[in-house]
Amino acid sequence: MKLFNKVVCGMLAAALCVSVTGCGKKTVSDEVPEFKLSDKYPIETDETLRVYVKNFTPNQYVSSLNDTEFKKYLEEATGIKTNFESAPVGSEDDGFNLMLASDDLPDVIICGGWRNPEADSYLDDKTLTDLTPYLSGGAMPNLKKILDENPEYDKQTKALSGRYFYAPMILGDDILRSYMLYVTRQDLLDKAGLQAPETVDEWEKTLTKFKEMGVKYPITIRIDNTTAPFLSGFGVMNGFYHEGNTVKFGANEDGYYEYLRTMARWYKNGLLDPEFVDQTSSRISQIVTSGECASFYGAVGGGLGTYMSAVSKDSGIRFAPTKVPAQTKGEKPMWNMSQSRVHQAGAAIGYTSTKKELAARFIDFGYSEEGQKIWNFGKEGVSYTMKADENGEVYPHYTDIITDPEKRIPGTSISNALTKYASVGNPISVQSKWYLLQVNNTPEQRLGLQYANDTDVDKYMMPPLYISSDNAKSINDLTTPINTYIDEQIAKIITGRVDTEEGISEMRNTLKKLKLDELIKMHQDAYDTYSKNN
Amino acid sequence: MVKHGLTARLKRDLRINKELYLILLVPLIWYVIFKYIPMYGTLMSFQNYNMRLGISGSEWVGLENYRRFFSDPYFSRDIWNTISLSLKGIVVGFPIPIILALLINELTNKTFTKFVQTATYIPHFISMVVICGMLKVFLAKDGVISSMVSLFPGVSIKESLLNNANLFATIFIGSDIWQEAAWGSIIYVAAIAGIDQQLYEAAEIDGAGKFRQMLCVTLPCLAPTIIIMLILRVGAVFTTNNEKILLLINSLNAEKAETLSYYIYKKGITNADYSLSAAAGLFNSIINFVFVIATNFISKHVSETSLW
Amino acid sequence: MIKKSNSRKVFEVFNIVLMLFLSFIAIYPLIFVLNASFSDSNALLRNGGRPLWLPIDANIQAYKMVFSNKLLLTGYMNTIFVVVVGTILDVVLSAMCAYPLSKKGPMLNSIATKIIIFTMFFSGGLIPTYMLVKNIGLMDNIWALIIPASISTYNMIILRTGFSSIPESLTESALIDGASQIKILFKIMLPLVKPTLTVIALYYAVTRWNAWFDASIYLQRNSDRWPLQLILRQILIQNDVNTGETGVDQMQNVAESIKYATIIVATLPVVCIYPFVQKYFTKGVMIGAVKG
Repeated sequence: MKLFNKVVCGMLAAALCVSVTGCGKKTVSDEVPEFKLSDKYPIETDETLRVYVKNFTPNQYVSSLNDTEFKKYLEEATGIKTNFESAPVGSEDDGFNLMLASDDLPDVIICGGWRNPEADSYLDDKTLTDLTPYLSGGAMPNLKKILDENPEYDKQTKALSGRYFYAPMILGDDILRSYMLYVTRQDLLDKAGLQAPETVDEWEKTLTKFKEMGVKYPITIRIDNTTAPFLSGFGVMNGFYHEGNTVKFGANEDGYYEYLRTMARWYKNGLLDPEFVDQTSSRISQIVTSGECASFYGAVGGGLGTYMSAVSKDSGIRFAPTKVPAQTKGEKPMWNMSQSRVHQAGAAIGYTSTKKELAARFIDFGYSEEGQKIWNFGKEGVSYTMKADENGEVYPHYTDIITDPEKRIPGTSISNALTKYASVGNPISVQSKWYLLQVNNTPEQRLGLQYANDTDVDKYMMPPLYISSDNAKSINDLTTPINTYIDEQIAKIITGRVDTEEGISEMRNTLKKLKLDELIKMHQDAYDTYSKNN
Repeated sequence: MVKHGLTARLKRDLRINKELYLILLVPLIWYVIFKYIPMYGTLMSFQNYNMRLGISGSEWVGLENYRRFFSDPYFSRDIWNTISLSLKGIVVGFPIPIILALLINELTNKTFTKFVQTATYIPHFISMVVICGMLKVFLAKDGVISSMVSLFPGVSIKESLLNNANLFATIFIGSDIWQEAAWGSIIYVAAIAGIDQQLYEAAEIDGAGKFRQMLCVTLPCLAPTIIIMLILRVGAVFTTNNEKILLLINSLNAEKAETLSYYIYKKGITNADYSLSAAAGLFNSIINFVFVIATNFISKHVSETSLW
Repeated sequence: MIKKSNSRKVFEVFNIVLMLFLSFIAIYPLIFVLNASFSDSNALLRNGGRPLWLPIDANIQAYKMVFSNKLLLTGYMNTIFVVVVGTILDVVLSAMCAYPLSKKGPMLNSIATKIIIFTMFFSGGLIPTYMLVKNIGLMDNIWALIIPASISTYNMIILRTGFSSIPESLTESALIDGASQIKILFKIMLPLVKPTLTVIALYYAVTRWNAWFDASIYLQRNSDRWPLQLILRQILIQNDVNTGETGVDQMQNVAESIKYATIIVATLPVVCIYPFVQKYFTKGVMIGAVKG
């Protein structure tokens, strides 16, 4: 019993210690240090940076971020040693938030999507470092050069207060902005003697013909509050957008209800997959690759790319990407799901870091010419070589250890292999279009990318970072019920569970009751503030 | 002379049961450290919680989060769905592991019994993601389950059964049973194994057949276990499995499928709204607790078994 | 010997048929997953979720890939460690809690029980628990998976019920013989509740085997400490990303068959555990060590 007593006392003592330990926050000075490091790489230093990456998915090539050739290339080129960490897939949000709440923040924090309203609050409550002095003081010359040369980028990078809180991933070309394609079947079009459809009416004719030819599901698309394919054909954009200085909301516009009428008609006539509410990838892959479903709206790589390689060789199935549906034939379509050139993904510096200048230089390297090559392509001679393509354009070409399926680990894709040598997903750099075009290198994919980005979306898209953190909660309180309602009601209308006209008028009334007008006004105010400050 | 005052009795009790209390103290300390200390987290629900500022630094907003929680337009529908799913689940799902255990108990061949038990609890181990994927296939228009349902006269299947909001409870609970019944029956199988064989022998001598033996020996001996399990189950009435809802819900069945915790989770995706989740969590806990107190009270007075 | 009545025979046959049917529908998921793990990935995509009675284009590619995944091997080691050490700790702590509480004598039992059961319903949530684990210094340490998750009140209560069916006279006679309560607990009581003990040990072991969430928040920095289920979950979720929503299109599509092979490798050992455990459920364990 003596030993037992000792153990018990030990535990009591432990309990006491634990309860007394407060959550002491490290106090860090706000002062910006003088910039001592040169801006020539590699930098001479013994320090190691802690780099946290929010979104990392292991695969057969790379089981951990510290395990890549890419990391070696970066360390060699910058002279800075690094130690990567990340949260497991599926727990990114929890892991990320908990990391941000700790006292011991990483030096570099790379996140796939910094949240819209929280930019300024991260600075105000000392989670992230204000990068403004670093940019103006010469610690991040490469990024500064890019922002100076492109005032549009500069505007979208800054938080509402005008401060810089992160170094964004910048899309190097418009073709990178949208990767969502409208795709149908070339072999069926040929059989039917039709051209690829360009307007909603043409699509309806094409799908009807497919139905007559015996296709089980002429088209399958996800239609909910976040995505509304074909809406571009009705002069309305989904969700919040602006026309000139007026903020609008898709489901508030007449065009949206025309769209619903059309979709309900498509469903009734058997053109739209009756199970369209279930868009899980396993189901969609199955109906598309087996040929049962002729058209879809999907991603260029994970969608079209996957399907193209999974289709059986003797099925005769060929895919045809089409232009984004326009309101009038020949006109540029209104919009397609796109990112802005300044992406929400990027790197920030933890407030409690003691190596801020080093972190800044590390981040800045990605924007230099050499840095861009490493992030996008890896190492010359190993993962890429400079070559000219058939049109005479010279750019980095991935080597065959990446492009040749025989040389890759069996069952992997080009993007899997790339994760070992480069970091193309959310590079802290300028993303190169040549990466995308080589990963999605079939003619169908390239054509699809061209079409996907040939829209007027810039005129209408809401700018990033225009909502402030004070408004976020009240906006969210109105948004969630409205989105929930829209999801459920449009499913009812399209599937014919309610009479179309009754359903539509009920929808209009209910949205009013759910205070949609108030929500639009809140977005309008936020937008006005943003326009004034920028 | 033996003193009878409370302090005296307490002192005597501590003296007599000193060893027992010391043994108990070890796990009790564990509870204090890992369960009670973190309870200050419920304070988050009264604040505008900010991860950086922590509990000590965040702004106090009183019942504001609760107001936001209760005044959501979907609050009453989602509560109703939660309760409805849970209660139906208890009524239908609770007896099944018991029945299964009783039936398994009647199997005579040892190897067969082992096989049956191992086989039937396999679904418990297969990840929810895979199970729900299979479920969707079975419920599709031409899936196995739909085909069997369409055998009934007057029934025609036009689309996946999953799209029918009114069937959601059946599907959800039915698949729960498929996945969990056998695993849940293990506790009863163990309890049955602990019943004194002499009781059965005595009953047989008295002329009771197997069925009567089950009624008069097995069930009464199982009663304490059953009652405790029931009280514990009722204590989870407001805790539904978010992951499963996430995998099965779609716009057409959401009307009946959306539970309160799923809705809160949805709301929290865009903001890290910890205060709201804390408020929702506290609300859930209180409801669960009230249910348990009620059930425990009833059980105390109706039988001899209770949780406390 | 009492002859079986006809209705009894009918019942037994019916029971066997029913059990066979239930076993079949329960085994089906395993059959599917097993077949899928030996199939060709593209063929799997084309097949969707339709039933598989045999592998399509059978090959062992997936298993080759799985076994060459370093993380999977370390995952196994970590999981085995956590399961073995964890279950022992869990059972010991639960017994130390359940035994005293099962006695009717001690006056403080009622309060203690209430204090403990209260924690089943009210908890501080993720953040304070996380902070606590951090402050104790268990961050990035595999013990963070073991200690904070140790006692399941649910299991403890089941054990308490088991203890309470043992007559008080047994304890009394042992005390008279000069044994300490600790000795009584571990040498006498535990063997008497073997079936119940086995059940909760099984529940604890399986919960620990399946656990992944704690590792995902406490072990962010060392992926070489991740348990099996966390690694499995990553592989499964990657493939279920809904089309077109993520910011990065390049879905790292793990080949379908690898997903299923990983499930088999991560789950089969546990599934097979039951037959070994079943012997503890033999009937008639109660003995009459004390008369009356």
